[in-house]
Amino acid sequence: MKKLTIGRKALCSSVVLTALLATSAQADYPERPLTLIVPWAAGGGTDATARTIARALEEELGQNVNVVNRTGGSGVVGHTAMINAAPDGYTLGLATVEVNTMHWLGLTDLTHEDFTPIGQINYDPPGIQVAADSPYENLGDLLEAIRSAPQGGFTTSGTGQGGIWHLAFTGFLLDQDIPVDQIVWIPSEGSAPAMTELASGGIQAVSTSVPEARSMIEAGRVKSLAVMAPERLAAFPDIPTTRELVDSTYQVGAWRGIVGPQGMDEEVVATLEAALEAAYQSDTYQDFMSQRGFGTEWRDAEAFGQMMQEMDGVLGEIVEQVGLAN
Amino acid sequence: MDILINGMSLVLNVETLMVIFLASLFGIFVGAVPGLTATMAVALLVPLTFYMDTIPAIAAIVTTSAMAIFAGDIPGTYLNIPGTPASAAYVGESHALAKKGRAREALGINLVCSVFGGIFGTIILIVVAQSLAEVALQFSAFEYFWLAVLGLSCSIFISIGSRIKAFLSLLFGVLLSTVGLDMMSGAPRFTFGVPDLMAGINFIPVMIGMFALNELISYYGSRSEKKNIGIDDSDSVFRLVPNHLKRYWRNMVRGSSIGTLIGALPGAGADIAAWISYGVGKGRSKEKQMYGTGNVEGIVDASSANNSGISGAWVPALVFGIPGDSITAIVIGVLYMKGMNPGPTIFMDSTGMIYALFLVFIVANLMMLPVGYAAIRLSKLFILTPSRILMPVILCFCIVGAFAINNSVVDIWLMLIVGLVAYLLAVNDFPMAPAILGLVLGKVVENNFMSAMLRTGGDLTSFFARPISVGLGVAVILLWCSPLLIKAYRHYREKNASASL
Amino acid sequence: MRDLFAGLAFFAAGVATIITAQQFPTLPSLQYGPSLFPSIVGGGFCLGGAALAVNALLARRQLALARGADDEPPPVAQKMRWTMVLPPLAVLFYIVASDYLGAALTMALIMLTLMLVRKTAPLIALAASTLVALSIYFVFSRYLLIPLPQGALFEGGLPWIF
Repeated sequence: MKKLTIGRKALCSSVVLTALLATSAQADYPERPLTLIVPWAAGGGTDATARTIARALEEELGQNVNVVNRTGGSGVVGHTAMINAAPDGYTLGLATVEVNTMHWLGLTDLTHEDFTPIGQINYDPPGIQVAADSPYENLGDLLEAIRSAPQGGFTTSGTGQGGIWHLAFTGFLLDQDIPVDQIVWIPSEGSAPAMTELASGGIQAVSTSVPEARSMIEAGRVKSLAVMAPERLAAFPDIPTTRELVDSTYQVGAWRGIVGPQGMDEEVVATLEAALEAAYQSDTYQDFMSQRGFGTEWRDAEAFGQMMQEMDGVLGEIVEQVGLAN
Repeated sequence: MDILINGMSLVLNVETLMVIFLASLFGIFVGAVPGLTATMAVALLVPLTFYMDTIPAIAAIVTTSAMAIFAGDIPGTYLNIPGTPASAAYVGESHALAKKGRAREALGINLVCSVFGGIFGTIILIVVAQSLAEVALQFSAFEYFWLAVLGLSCSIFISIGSRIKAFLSLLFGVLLSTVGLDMMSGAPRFTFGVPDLMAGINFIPVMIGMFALNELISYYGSRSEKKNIGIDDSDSVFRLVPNHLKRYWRNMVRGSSIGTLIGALPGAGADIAAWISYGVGKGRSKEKQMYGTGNVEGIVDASSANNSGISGAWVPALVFGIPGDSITAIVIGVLYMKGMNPGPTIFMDSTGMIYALFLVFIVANLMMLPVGYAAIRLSKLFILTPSRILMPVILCFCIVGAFAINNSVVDIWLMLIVGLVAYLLAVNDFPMAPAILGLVLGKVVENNFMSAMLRTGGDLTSFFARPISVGLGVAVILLWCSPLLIKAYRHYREKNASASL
Repeated sequence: MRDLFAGLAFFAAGVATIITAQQFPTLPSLQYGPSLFPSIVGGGFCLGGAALAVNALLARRQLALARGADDEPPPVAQKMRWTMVLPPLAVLFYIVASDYLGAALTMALIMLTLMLVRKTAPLIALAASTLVALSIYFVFSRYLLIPLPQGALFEGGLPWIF
């Protein structure tokens, strides 16, 4: 009898305790340091963005935000680590546009639906770059050259096969009613090798974000013919938009945002969303982004989720058209 | 002149010098621990540089990377565990010297050559950065293909023992390099459904497995507690350096030139430079048969080349914002963040920033002398600590080092499996160093070949269609044919000799 | 003799590589598929392995000829102690146990065992392994920001340095 009482008491108190813990988890959140998973290598642009937003978040949340790089598999490893984390709000991730492409390419099963969106913090539209001494003076020249080239006779580069700039550029050609097999995409490991190939005359055009081409533009080796954005970029006001030039509303680019695993507590998400928006607005973050020339764009949890949804459909279609679907 | 003084005052102040000193200690630590790399050390510094001024921030990066590259040779010399693929070229050489009780001598000449190479590269950077960057920009997939093939060929050419075994070891490395997503088609190869393998195999766990695990297994397989490296009291860090320099100064200058040139190419780095310099050194040496047996000459060739390669990598980074290696890729980000945008204009700026930057390079390299000297003296610990305590500690460093590359257990598995295969190969007298180079350069060869074929529609003659490409291609073919040519020449001479009798 | 086996092993590995490589997908736009380089490597394995095996056979025959009817020389294999399997086993143990025991404890156990195997004084072994394991853990996770596993065993119950 006595034993039972003790058992019951223990049971009751543990229920109370768990309840208490549960409420305090929301009320006092965050009460220990957070981890931010970055799916790309330390030292790159995404890593630097993550470390800056982590620093701004620390000021808002009053807790350390530790950045951990989980690289590998073209982003698969890091994004998988994010969705497999405990949904307690202490492990977040900096998701990148690959979330919308990897599963179409058959690299993984995870999609944007496996995440809890918290907020989008960056968007970089693709630019179209050619060598400074190339015969193409403007976007019209370039598109004409691609149209009239023999099939597969126009060489372009910027990322690996099925990378975001590959898909974005091909999507733009489709938008302009140019068959995708007019160009041949030379895969490259990132934008820098593509830029050197462009300057050494190995290829004819490169599509990357404008900041990635910045130093070569400033060195007078490369010129940017257009940027696929609704309005000109603040950091590069001389580059015309595709909307001005060919009246195209086509928009596919690279986004970055903060996400958590599925099944997070709504209050925790709300806390994080508010803190993230403040961190996004902070001087720390804004100054960094403008120094690097990276584009800033804010979407709250709901709008971020919608954007991923829409982008997923568009990119899926392009992957299909390019013949990379798996 | 004012600019120059301004630049000097940016460097020669307590804060910057303190940063350089601390960074060199950090660099020594990271370099000496197997598994931690210079690139990783620099990436760790990035968040700290947020809080620093421009010049101390860059000073920290320059010093750490230069120091880490040198320090990688300390465990290489004592334990036969190279710190970087670049030092894998001559790890056999310096370990052989250590076995003769001349570890300090080997590290001393290595240190001096590293400092010379670093400063030589800096001077090239100051004087001809812009024109050198122009040349580097002429390199396209065709040229990189040949250059990487040249590097691979050198690794067979310089190996001692059976050429067939060196060739097979090299191919083993190349096969490892094909693991992962194929860049051209995006198709996964040899990944066996493991997502971590999709990014390919990193050379760090492989290097740890091949060299360190191998040593550990041999130690635990033997009964002997005796070290195979001896202490010789007459062994001194710098005493014999003047002698060696007098004899081998040509090698040092040649190695530094090769290192700077190859380092300046965005698609090739210090690793190819070290191997090619070592290969050229052996080819031109009067004592070819001494190479690989503990010869100072080979250390001079390669260690001056890899440090000058680090400086050379800054050439395209500063002039065009195009990284020459993985370290400068990080540096470019820091430069932008500090408002010091790379590009030709960086050389015309009027605040003395660029002079300060050059001075940082020189001070950082000079700082290597005292700090490196202290580290070499301190590394006596490797000898004083009994093996039975040292070996388990090394094993733990290997495990966490392999893990640290991607924060992934898969890399520990990789270290284990490759280590076991490498052990089997090593007991059968297969050299390990070519495999490391094969792993590093296999991708360079393949991707550039495929990329070239893709854009020319599969036209193989295009590899001989550009001037630099022809030159490199001919060099490779001559190197391949050299054993035959030498044989034919000897045969011809013997015939003549017998005919004249 | 050993070279003969090594050569044959490489030959077999070469064949296996070529067969695996044939299953890689090809893209119509590529003149050479992703199977090209693995196949070349496989071919190289076959050639090199065959050359090694043939050389070994030739050398053996020459040796046999030189020594008349004598058999091959007595093998000079060094006798390896069984403890040679310890380092790989230790790595395996870390992979399996570190998630549960945590990196620090796992490393301490590994070092302690390995030190004791080579007859280190127990006290010294204990002190050295504990000290080194703690400092590796501390430096790597605090300063190098490498997320070494804390260990499910201690979840939350560890002092602040963890």
